[in-house]
Amino acid sequence: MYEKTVVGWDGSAPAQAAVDWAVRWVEERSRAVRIVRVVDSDALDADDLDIRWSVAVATFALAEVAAQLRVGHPEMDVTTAVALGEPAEVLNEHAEGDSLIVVGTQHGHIDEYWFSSRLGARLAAVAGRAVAVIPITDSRERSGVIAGISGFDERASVGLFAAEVAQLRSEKLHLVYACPKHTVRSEAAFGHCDDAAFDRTLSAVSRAFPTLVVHCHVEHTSPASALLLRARDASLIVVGTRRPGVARRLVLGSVSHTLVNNAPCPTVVVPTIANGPL
Amino acid sequence: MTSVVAWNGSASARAALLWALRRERERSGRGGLLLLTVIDEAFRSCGQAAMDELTVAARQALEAEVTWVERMAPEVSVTARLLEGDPERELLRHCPDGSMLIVGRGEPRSHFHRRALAPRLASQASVPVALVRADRGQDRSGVIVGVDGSNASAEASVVAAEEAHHRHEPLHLVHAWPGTNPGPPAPTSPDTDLAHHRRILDEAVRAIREGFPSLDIAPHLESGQAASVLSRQAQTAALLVVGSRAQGPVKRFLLGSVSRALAQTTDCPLIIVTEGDHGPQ
Repeated sequence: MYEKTVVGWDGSAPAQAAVDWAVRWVEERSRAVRIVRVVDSDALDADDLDIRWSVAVATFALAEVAAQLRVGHPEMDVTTAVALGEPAEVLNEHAEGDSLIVVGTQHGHIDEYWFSSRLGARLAAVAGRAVAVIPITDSRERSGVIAGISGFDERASVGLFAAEVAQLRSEKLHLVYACPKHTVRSEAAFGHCDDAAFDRTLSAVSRAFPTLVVHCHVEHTSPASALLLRARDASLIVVGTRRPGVARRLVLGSVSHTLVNNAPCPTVVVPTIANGPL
Repeated sequence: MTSVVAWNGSASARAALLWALRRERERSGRGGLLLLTVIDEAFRSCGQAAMDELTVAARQALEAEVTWVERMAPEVSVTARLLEGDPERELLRHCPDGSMLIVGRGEPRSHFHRRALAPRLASQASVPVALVRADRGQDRSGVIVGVDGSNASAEASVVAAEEAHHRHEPLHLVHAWPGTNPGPPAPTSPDTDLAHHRRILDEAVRAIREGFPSLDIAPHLESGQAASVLSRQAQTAALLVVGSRAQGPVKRFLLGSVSRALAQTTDCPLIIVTEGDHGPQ
C-alpha cells in the first residue's frame, strides 16, 4: 500500500511542512518520494522566455531541496519533476496507482499562490486517491491518530489507513463516529449506522493489525466539529470522501472540506469507494 | 579521463550525474567529476534581477549537489563551475581534452526539450559525448559498439572497449550488412559480399584484441539497417557506442544518420564518438 509518495512543492513554508511530513511518512515505510514543482502556466501571463525562466529557477530550487534531502536521508529514493500545467491535475498525473499525494496548506490565508487551502481541497476532490494536506503546525505536543468513520465506508478504508499509521508510530488509534442528536430524522435513518460502521472498521482493523488497541468514540455533534475539536491535539486526522461519480467530481464532502481547510494538524482524505460510482 | 556532466538541476541531468558517478567509481575516482552549469544568456532580456535570482538558485543547487556527491562518493574528486553564456558553446569550451561530456536526455514528450541540445552537442564536441536517459530499473548488461570499418568506428571501438574493461562486461562488436534486403541487385555476388562484411568485423575484433587482451569480445554479423540492428541490440545492453564521421566545418553540426536515429530512439545510454575526438588515450 502507498508505494510512492508525491509531494507538491512551491518553495513556500507550507510546502516545506509538506515535504517534512512526507519524509517522515516515507522513512517509516522506506519507500520512494517524488517532489513535483508545478509551474502554473495558466497563471503566467507571459511569453515563452518568461516561462522558460520560471522553469529554470524552479528546477534549480527543487534540485537544491532534493540534494539536501538525499544528504540527510541517503537511503531514501528521492526523485523530482518540474511540469507546466494546472497544479492539481499535474500532481494527480504524477501519482500512479495508490500513491499518496502530499501538499502543504496555510489556513486563513487565501492569496494567489497555489498552496492556498484550495489546492488541498481541490486535489482531495479530483484525485481519487489518498491526499494528505499538511498545515504549518503549532508547537503543541501532538499524539493520536483519529479516524472519522461513517456508515458509507464499505471497505473500512478510513479506519485501515489510520490504523496503519497508528501502528507504525506506536500511537493510539481513535475511531470517531459523530451524529447530531437533535436530528430526529438522522436518528431514525442512521440509528444503527454507528454500530455497523464500528463493526465493519473494528473487524477490518483487528484482522490487519491484531495487536493494535482501538478506542471508539461516539459524539452527538456534527462530524466536522467533533473531528476539529480532536484535531487540536491529534497528530493526524483521517477522513473519507465519497466519490459519487464524474458529475460531482469537484465537490468534496463537507466534512473533509472543513477539515482540510481548518484542521491544525495534518489531514488525510481517503476515497472510500475505490474507482466505482455509488 | 574526467567525466564532465552538463548539470541543470533537472531529472535527466541527475540521471547523467548518477551515470557519471558510477563511471568514476569504476575507475576508483581517478578521472574526477566536473559539473558544468550554464545560465543561458538569453535570460538577460528578462532583466538583471531575474538573472541574479537564477544565478543564486543555480549556485545553491550546485553546491547542494556537490555536497551530496562528496558524501556519497568520497573517493571521487568533484568540482563544479557555474558559467553564463550560450549553453552549447560554454559546455564545449569547458570540456577538458581527453574528457567525456555526459548529457541527460529528457523524455521525448517533455515541454522543455524542444531544442534537443544533446544530439547537437555530440556532433560538435571534440570529446566523446554520452547521452543518458533516466534509468527505469531495467536489467541491462553488455557494451555494444557499431562497427563499419571506418576510422570513426575504430575510435568508437576503443572507447567502448575501455568502458567494457572498467565495467567488467563483455564487448559486443556489431556489424550490420544490408543482407537480403529488397533493392537493386548488388554489383557483387551475395557470397563475396558476405565475405567482405565478415572481414570488416574480423579486422575490428583483431584490433581490439590487441589493445585489450583480457577483454571478453563477441562479434555479431547481423543483416539489416545499421540503426535498427543497433537499436534492437541496445534494448537490453548497458551501453551503446557509435562512431560518427567527421564532417567539414559547415556540416559539423549535423550528426550522422545512424547516430541521430539512435539518439532519438534508444533508451540505452549512448556514447557518440566523432572521428578525431581526443578520446581516452
